[in-house]
Amino acid sequence: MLELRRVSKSIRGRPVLRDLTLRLAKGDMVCLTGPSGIGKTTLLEIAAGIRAPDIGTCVRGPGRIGCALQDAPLLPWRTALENMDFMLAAAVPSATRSELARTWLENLGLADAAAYKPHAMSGGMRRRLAIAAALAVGPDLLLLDEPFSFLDDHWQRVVAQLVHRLNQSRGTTVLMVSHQFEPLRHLGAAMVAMDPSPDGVTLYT
Amino acid sequence: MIAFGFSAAVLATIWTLLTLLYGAHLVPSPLATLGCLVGMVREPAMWGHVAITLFRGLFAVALTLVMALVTGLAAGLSHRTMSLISPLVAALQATPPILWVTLLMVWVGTGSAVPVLVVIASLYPPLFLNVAQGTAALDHRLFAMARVYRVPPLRVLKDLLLPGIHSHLLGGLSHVLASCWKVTAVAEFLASGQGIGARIYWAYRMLEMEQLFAWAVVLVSIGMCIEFGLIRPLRRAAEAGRATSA
Repeated sequence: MLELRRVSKSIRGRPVLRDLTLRLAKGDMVCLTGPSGIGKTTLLEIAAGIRAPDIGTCVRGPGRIGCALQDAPLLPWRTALENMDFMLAAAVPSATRSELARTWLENLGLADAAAYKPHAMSGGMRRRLAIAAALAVGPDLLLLDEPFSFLDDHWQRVVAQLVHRLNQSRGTTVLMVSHQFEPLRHLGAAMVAMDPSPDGVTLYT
Repeated sequence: MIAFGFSAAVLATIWTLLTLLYGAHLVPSPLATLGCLVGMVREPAMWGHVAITLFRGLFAVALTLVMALVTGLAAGLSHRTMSLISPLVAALQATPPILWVTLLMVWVGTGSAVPVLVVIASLYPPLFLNVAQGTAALDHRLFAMARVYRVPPLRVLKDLLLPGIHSHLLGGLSHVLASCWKVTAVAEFLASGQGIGARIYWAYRMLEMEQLFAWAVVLVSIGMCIEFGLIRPLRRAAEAGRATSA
């Protein structure tokens, strides 16, 4: 479903990833951990196709991608519902899009915030909005960067359950980056630690 | 209203003083000018000239806007394009309208083509730059997300690009509208037989000072209508847009 083969990447001259290989089969659920600055987010962005590797290849299986980045970029001039509609435009036919968007806003406790623009929402609400869109597209590959930060215990649990359910029902492949281990217990995700080593980064499963 | 009355009073006073100083044959009095203007307004020919100038100006602005949007959006999306063409745009911006008038008179002769093309040549570079800079300043991660979610190009245009450059565009458009009719009038003065600029040229050639002043009043009135009716509301909208997106 997702294969990064011997990927190297430098950002502004600083080598971030060196000769890294990671393979996820359909239905795999993997959580990357490791010290900050080691390239977890970069790896996720390469997996999403937002960045291209300098060397090596990234191959994604067919299907839809759901992606919630760390500081979720949202259209600042559109409401929460309109942002959902924008991100679901390709994945969901227009007849059912609005209803589906509302359902997912409700799932993540944003029903009352549907008419808010991002600047009127808290960090946690924006985070949940980005996650709502990532889950609502019905992704075959789900990429989440620190999905639990800014969220209280209740919403951490809700997000973990929703991701788990998607993984079980659709066989969604999940790759996430997280520092918080508590919510992961609900998920049963494989932990992969990224450690600096002389050759770059070593992956420990 | 008080501000308008005060400004009109100051203008009328200075005007009258100039009439007294230079004589009515060089500076017709405000009353004589008004009389001439009333005579002109009654004739359909005057409205024809006003309509021609307005049409040329607005038609040129519409073309400029379309060209600037298409090329500005494309350039703003690519840093390389921006850096490659920025000296060219700077050169175009530094080119005075009078140079375009001269060249276009030689190339396309007289008629509507010169005023329209001069407005486009003078106002396209700043508006293009406006759109391109507005596009380049957008959060590039939004485009990345649109790519990940495979959002259709039309939706990206409607929901991301156009609202994103909205305040930049309105600011640029207000500048273009403020300049377009002045540039049109200058081009008509030099290169056309019709339109307000051309009428000013004939009044000058015939030393019909009352007509010259009457046309000046018409020109300034149109400018003020555009300023208060179009430009100031546009600027207010642009500032409001900046305030909410900040």
